[in-house]
Amino acid sequence: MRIAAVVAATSVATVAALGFASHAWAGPPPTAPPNVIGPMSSFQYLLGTWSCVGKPKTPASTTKVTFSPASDNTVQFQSKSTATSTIGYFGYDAVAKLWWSASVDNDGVRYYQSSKNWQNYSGVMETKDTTFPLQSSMTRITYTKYRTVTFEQVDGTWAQSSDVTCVKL
Amino acid sequence: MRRSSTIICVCIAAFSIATFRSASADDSMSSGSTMGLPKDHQYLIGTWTCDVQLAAMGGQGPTTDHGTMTIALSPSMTLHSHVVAKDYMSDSYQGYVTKTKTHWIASSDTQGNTTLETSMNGSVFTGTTWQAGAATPTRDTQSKISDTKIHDVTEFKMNGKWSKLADVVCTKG
Repeated sequence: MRIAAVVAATSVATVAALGFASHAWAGPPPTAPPNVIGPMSSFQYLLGTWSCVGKPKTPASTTKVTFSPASDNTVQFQSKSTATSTIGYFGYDAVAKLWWSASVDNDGVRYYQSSKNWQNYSGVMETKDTTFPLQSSMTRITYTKYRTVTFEQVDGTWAQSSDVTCVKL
Repeated sequence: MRRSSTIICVCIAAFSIATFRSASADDSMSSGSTMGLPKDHQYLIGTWTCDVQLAAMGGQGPTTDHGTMTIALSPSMTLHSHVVAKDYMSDSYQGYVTKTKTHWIASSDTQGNTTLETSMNGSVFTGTTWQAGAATPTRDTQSKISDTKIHDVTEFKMNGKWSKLADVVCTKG
């Protein structure tokens, strides 16, 4: 039960965490008033609601993800399915020149990821007992569709933990 | 501003943990589940106004701040709390693991902090707050004053010593 929940949460968190990466490949975002500025303006096109499906397939594999502007030029994301809920924020560290994602889920897991190049992310997923390294990549398909793939390191071995596609609603 | 916001995060987020403070494994609402919301803590669901007293720190004297905390049910019979203050937001989930009799809270905020805290007795929660890989031990001690008022004291461990950072009172409505 817990493993399934963690995997599902990882998938959802990664979808949200990497969503903004697609903008780097997309050129100018669709017309909308800027709600985030500077390096965070890359999130602009993501603001709104997305429907995400993919692997691992579970009864809760269809997830709704929402991005919204938040305090201090950050973006809040929230993903929900019938069984899982993940929420967190994206921001930019001007000193480290890194985009970051900090989130938690309803299984008591925290996630922290950062990126230098918009396309490949690394970080950790931490439970009360264990820490797993994470690596993720994201491919933008269109302005209204993107795909994320996440790998998780367990006992020194990297294994794909999710492959999710999101469509903007 | 940053200092106070960070503290608000920890303090107010920790407040939500108070939901589980007096609960035992037996009064979990989740039959057969690993987590659950104690039945006698439904009163926490709703909107709270929080006043924060911050200890003197870094050459700055004691200050106060304010925030609003909204608590709602989330999947697996956990609670989700959302905090909004000036130039600051945070979100937390709280739950109870019946098997290990452990209360937990997980939080993230607009400053990139993430926090995990647990409690075996439901009264004192200890854990860690991370920001960009740097970890700081944290401790929260909470109490229920009434169905419409709750109290929390937040401490950080610095140089091996616990230091009180904040005293928070939240009033419902």
